[in-house]
Amino acid sequence: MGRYVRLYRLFVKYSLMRAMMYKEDFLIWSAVMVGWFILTIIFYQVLFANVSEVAGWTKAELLILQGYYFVFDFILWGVLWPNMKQLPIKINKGELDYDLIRPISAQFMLSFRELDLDNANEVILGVATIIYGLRLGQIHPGVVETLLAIMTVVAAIVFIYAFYFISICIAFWFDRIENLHYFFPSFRHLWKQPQSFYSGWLRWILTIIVPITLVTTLPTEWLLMRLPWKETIFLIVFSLVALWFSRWFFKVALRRYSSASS
Amino acid sequence: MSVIQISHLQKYYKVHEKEPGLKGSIKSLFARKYREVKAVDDISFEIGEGELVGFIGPNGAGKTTTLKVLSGLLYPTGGEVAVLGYTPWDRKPEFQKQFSLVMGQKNQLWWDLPPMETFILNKEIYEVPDLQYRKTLDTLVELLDVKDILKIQVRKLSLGQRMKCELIAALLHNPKVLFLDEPTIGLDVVMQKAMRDFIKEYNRKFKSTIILTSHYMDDVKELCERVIIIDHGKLLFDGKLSSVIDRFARNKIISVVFSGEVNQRKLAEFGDVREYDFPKVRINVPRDQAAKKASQLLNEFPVADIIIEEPPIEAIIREVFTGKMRPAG
Repeated sequence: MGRYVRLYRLFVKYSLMRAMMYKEDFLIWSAVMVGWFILTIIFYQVLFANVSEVAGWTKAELLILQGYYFVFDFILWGVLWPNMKQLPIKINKGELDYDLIRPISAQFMLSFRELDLDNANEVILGVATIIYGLRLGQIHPGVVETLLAIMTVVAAIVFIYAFYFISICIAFWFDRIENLHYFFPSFRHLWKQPQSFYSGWLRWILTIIVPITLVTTLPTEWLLMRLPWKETIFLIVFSLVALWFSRWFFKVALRRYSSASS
Repeated sequence: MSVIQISHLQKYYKVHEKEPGLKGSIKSLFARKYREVKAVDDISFEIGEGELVGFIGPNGAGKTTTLKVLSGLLYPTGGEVAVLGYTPWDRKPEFQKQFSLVMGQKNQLWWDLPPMETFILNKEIYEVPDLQYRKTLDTLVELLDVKDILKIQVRKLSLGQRMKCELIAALLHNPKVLFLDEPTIGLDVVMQKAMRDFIKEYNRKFKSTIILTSHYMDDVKELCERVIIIDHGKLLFDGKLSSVIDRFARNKIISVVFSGEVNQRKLAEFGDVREYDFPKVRINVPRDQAAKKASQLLNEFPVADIIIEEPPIEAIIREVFTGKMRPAG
């Protein structure tokens, strides 16, 4: 485990070095992220100028959820997407060779080697939004609730990663499949809203079958001290099973890898 | 004791055949036609510790496929393989720490960063202790003479410089087995020589077992005492390079320097006149008749000098690859 932590620190360092090499790109995207953030805040200001709550959620509570959305957005686009976009290309061109012959988890190398730090400020903006929401709503979660909120964030990250990776592994079965790396991220719009916004069979599917709506809802509800124990245990177990499945699926997929002629 | 053991290895692929044109594309949507390609078709050999073996064959012969099975990149269709006692496609970390694969047309160095960063990364991946890392790195840097380029971005290095750094990255963990797949491809003659000298020195110094594939016969001639020739997935020859001539060559070459005018038509009766640049002539004759033909030439023509030579290895290998030559006798 220590080796993987050390390796990941090297990956972060190399990504930082590359970001500094292409600093114009970094600055422009950072500015774009700030722009999106401002637009989102303006949206909520305008919305709640007309209503006091939406489906039982106040402005402060929705801002907290939105803050988590920003954090997960960075995980998706900054941590996972730079690697997931390359994987189908590498599979098609037979460029997985060096990742498969080294004494380290190939899944780890292929999933986490690169980071796109252009939108790293989303984490700061997200945490700032959460803190602002807590202050606006005069909400004071305790240590236990805060720790459990962090735990559900970790479980949600594992869930996002597992499903994203599984969806990308489909590329092993097809000669060429472009834009596959956009398929899973398109579902992020579903966790932009709290779970209670959905109803009926849709809510059931998005909570039980694939608990997408729990991604931002659960950590928010912990900070709001609503104590969603059942859903938390469910998400943690589901994420671990999904992670295990992603590893098994990858091993199965590798048998189809035929490399490419040198 | 054998370090590499291959027994009746087979690797077959199913490839999709598509008829040309739009009609063919539409047809393939509904009914795909597949053909089986036997990339490796029942080959067996063993390689001992410290051997440096040339693995040669024409394009598509099955060389790279064999190396990839040995590296654990591919699962075989049939047969048994053991490298250092391990089954390669189990991909056990204990096995992966003991071998390395270098592919001339693929690279593992991080493109935007100096080679040094990839070395540090590999040190971590292979869990090389600090002291061993420093010692090995210093040795390799000196042997390959790359001290001045370690801190320059890989994308700014020349092909030769990149290949040298690729070798260092592959050797930092002192592998016992090294698979070199066309390591000198695309390099200029000076760099090719430098790489060959390095590989020879590395094999001598570290006693590592090396399989080398190359299309440059100079690589094979300079480095390998033993060659394995493969074609269409089948093993044609496994033995000393010097024995390739005995096994495959059907002819010898008589080089003559004449001291007077000769009748060319009469000369052609002796054998296949390959080069006629009077007074020098080179004639191909059957191996078993070489001495007799040479004696006849001496008797019937004004000869200043005469030599009986073996055909160049390159020519023999070329004829083997094109199917014009198969084992003699």
